[in-house]
Amino acid sequence: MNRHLLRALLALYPRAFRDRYGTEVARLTDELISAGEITPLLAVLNLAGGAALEWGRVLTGSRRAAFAVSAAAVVAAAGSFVFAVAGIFYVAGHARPPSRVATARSVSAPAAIALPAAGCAVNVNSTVPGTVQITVGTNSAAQSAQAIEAPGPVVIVLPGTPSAVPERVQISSADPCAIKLPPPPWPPIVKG
Amino acid sequence: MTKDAVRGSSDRSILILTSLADWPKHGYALVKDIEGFAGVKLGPGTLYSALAKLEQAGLVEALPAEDRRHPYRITAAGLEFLRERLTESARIAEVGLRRIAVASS
Repeated sequence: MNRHLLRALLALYPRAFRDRYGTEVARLTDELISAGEITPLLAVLNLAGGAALEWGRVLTGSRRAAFAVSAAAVVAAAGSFVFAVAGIFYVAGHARPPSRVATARSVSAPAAIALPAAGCAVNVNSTVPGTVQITVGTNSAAQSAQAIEAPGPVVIVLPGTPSAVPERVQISSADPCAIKLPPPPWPPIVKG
Repeated sequence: MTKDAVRGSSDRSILILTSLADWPKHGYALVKDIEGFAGVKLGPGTLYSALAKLEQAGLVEALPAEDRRHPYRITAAGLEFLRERLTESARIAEVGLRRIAVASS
């Protein structure tokens, strides 16, 4: 990967992370690209995404959630710029068409879990920026749905009436692997 | 960074801890090993974000650099954490498979 581009990508990371892991990240990136394990374009996407996650972690950890959202937007914008520059480098230096990358970015597979009972609360936390769609309902019809802007936690309150016992909670996002559900049993809701 | 924070993160942490459970590895060896046993190819940003989290939680530690890169080793706390998580996953898998069998019969 182009040295200047790699340096620009590493500059997106928080300084502490960059100082500690920057050299290793750069080396691993070069190794993976040299070995044909990853394309330069995917490396750019991965590094930009990692930078957004690191900033989110740093800022959320200091309880400055509002600022974290703004910073994430700035990093995303910077990442888009770097991505555009990387695209120019890629097209200029490689014969392979970029459609392969488009396929990789469109990964989407819903995660489904069984529910032990109604009247439970489930904490969902996605660490990947984007919209996470959450649907609570029966196998035949959704009863309620909500969307959150990740990264961020959300509590799903399951319907409590016997006739509305949900058979599933379905959660989908661009990266379902990033959604974490605690194992059942989930604690009942305490009604005040 | 606490163990709870690691627990709340993605399963990439478990993949890394599993990879380090036998012996220390550096970044490239981790990527190849995880791809081999889990079919998941971690990118450089993803891998080091997870490693940073695990290191801050005291679940892995960096060994002295070899050829300008650090091998990483799982700690005793990391082994215990991994054991708990895998046991928990096995229990959930058992319940899930039993229910699938009942539903299929």
